[in-house]
Amino acid sequence: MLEIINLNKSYGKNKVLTDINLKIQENKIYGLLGRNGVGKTTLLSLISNQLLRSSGEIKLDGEEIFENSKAMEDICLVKDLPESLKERKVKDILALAGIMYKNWDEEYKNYLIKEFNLNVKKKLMKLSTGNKTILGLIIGLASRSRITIFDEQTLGLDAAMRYKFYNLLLEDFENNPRTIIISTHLIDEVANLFEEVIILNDERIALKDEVSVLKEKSYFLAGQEDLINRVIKAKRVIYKDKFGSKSIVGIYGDLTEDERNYIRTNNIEISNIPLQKLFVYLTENTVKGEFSNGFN
Amino acid sequence: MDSTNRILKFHIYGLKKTALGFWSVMLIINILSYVLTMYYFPRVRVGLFSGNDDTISLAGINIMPIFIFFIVYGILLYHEDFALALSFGATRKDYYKSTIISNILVVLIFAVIQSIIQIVDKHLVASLGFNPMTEFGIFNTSTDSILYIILVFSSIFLTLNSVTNLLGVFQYRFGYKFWVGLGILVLVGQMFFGNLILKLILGFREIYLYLLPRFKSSTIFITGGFVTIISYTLGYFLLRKANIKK
Amino acid sequence: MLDLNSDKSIYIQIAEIIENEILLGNLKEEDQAPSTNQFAKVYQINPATARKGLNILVDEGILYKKRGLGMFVAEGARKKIIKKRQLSFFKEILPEVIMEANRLEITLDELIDYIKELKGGE
Repeated sequence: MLEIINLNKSYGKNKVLTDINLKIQENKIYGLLGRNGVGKTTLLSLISNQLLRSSGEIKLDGEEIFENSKAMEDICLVKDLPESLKERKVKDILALAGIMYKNWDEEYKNYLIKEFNLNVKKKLMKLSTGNKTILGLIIGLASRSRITIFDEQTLGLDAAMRYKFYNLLLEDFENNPRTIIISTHLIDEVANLFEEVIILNDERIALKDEVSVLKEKSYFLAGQEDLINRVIKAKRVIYKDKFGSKSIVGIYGDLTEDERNYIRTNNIEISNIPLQKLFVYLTENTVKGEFSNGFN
Repeated sequence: MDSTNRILKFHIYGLKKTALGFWSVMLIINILSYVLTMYYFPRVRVGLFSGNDDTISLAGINIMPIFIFFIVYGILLYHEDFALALSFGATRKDYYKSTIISNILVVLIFAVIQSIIQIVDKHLVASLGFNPMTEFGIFNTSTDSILYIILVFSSIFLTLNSVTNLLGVFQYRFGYKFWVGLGILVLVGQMFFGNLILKLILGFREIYLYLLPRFKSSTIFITGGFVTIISYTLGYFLLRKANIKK
Repeated sequence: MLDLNSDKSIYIQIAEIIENEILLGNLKEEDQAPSTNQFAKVYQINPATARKGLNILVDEGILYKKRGLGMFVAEGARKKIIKKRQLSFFKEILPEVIMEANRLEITLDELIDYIKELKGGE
């Protein structure tokens, strides 16, 4: 299990991540969501030690991973390859990856190259954007690393290619389970691939929960304002608006049997919040004043 | 250690081709210069000539390209390989360890090759009817054993490599700002201390000449070793704080 | 069919899909239910989500696990499903109808008459 404890990262005076605490379990697919620029890549780069942290601990099976060769062998981060490599041929880059990742599966890599029709004789800079991304996907899949992380690896891929990747991912996950973390902004497509979703917002973790229960924990409530206020008192409010004489709130959390009865008897309309909207609300920038009782 | 081995393989992956290519070109140039000298001397003059033109070394010209090789090799390693190794999960420690090991390997191989060439050169030049240059200051192809010559070359190349390695780390961490800063430092030094570079070189020469009678033939190894250790150590401290570049 | 955009959680839908198959007679007692991986492949969802849905049915005695082989339809599954859905009909669906009827000021007699008509005068 991967444990992140009180992780902080600043670039000079600019604080990006504050007191991040996460427990990542074995053989699960996690989604890391958040607005562009919120710090997803920073967090993932810190986990793979490519970026140096400001403070905090990251432990794998209880051991700190920084400069720990054994721990680092189990972590693979797939993101855009460094600019300086543009003159290298794809097959050389794949060969180097094969040398570096201890669980590398050469046969699987060859299978993937055929599946994606990748020309390995080309130089990196001659690849289309989509193929550059595919190269990254192949490296991540073939690495068979215990913890494999895909950071926004959808650039240049059309829907057909993306779905091909999701299929291959699920297929390999079935036969060779590992911990997978996917960061993306294409929430609609991938939400159902995840077992758990982690939302990063405002330097912190805004939410970490099982995807399957997300729908059951997010509600729109519409009705008279004072009636609604009584229900939402201890709840996490993520949205608030007025519609005619009605007050509409979006909440995230469980509703007790009593609360449900209250809602029913007071004619408060209750409906689910669509996932896409849920994520939008949760990744909104800090809302001061009205909603501040809802956040940490 | 398993991971150091892996990164060593990583380092060596492209090196074989590069080194092979380098020496292929060098050998062609060497052979060409023998041929030219054989048929076209004194109209065409290739090689090293001593002060009054009485001794020649054709293979001695290899030293400059070798130096350039180590300069490029030392600095380029960080520009390309380090970033890639980091993105493939290498620790900085392992990367540095295997950099030093592969540096030593390359240095030894180059030293052996060049030493052999120098000795062959002595015989070939003689067979062409010229006086072969044998005294090269820090070694002598007539009086010194080949092992000694190899050691001398190794020491020089490794010292050079350790310095270019350090420059490579500086370049990686600070980019062009490093070179600008260095340039400014030199200019400022020139202004205040007049001809700083010359003074530094003379200063090193003074230290070397001071040590020479005390350590005689070992002097080159001691001064070289000293610089090598300091350069590699400094490089490591700088690399520990390096982040991945885009 | 699975509706990824529906308000209903996916794992609940999966349970319902299996239940429907049992009700329709496509899955008989002792038949093997589709595996979590089959669900994952067909619908492109995380196998754990499918597992959650199947586990509900195991907890309710509609499916049972055979170690190393998978999930199978239990004895009396059909009856259990019908009973479950009847309960849900009376506890959830009907109260909603009554409340709406009250809101629209439909009397009890009017309601009974309509029900009689729809049900064909039983």
